[in-house]
Amino acid sequence: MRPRSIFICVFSLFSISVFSQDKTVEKKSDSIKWKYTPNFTVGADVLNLGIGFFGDRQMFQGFVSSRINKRTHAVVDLGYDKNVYQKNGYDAKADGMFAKVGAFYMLAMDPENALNGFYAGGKLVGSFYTQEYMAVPVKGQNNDGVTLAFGPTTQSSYWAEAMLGARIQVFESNFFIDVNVQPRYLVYTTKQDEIKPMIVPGFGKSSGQFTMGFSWNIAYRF
Amino acid sequence: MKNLILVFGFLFLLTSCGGDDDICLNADSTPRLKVKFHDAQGRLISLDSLYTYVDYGNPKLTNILSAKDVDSVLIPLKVDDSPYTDIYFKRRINGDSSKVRINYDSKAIYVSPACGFKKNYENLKAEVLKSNPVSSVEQNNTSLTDETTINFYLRF
Repeated sequence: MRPRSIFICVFSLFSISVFSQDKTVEKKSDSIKWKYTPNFTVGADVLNLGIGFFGDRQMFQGFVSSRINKRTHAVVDLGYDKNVYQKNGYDAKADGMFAKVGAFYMLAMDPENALNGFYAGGKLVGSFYTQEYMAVPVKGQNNDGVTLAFGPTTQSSYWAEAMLGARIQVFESNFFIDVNVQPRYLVYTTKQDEIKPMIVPGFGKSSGQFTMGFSWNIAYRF
Repeated sequence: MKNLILVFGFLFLLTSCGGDDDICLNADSTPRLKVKFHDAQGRLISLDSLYTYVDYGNPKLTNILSAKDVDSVLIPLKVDDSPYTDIYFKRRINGDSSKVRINYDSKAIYVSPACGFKKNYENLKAEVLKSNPVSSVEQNNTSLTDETTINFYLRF
């Protein structure tokens, strides 16, 4: 199952990149004309901020992006996530900061407004957090509810994430709505007493290597 | 437009990923104690019937086995921090019952996110706290890390 999933993911990314390259060649004459001037778009994720009021997960994240050529934008994200995991005999909590660095490429742009359109990109992410496992189950036949506890420690995790989304300007203002999804693949994580983390701030519930993130940002372009 | 189809196609592909390692298989759980039976001369026998109960600290003893023609019994030991498990054996449903205490050192071993930990046992020692029908216990293997070896022979 796992190798197949990885293959699907890699293949999909590959096909996008191949497709994108054709486009660049076609429009080469246009991109020469475009010259970099300092520009920044700053955004905050309001979807996850809102979800925080209704659940156990408190997540704050924002980004700064800059258009570095006609179709490519560089982007840096910073966030804080606090979450609990209480399922299958586990009782765990984790909180910490994460930082993302990456770029995205405009796949389809509005001919009248180059800042509107659909994009795809990738990011590398590091998360540095404190975790505590108040209960980890011990499995044995006829023995229900036996757990072990582990004190708080500092851990870190690293993952790669793809991003697919759209950015739309709100009327004529400098405000944008930026919606994207982030399929994530956990690459490396430090462990406490061999325990694979059940939650990683910024990544989500992580008993598997894959998660999917959603964000709905309001951004302002300077 | 073609781009859009690609983007959404990609999203649908990804929804198939992940999520199937939340199941803990029994093979990854704590191994059970394997016990066989000897007669007074030390020959391997099978019993015409056997009832086995374990004290897991619940108000009532837990029935592990009630069967005819038994040649071995697999007994799940306690996985908490206690250093022993008490096991009760009887040949007849209304007959006398023997109490055997298994002492051990247990060690927690991490298995997987779905299973959490399992226990392995070392320095297994058995003492017969109440004899009849079990007269004594012969040691065979003092460590319990899987269910392939026989740990004790109960002598009837």
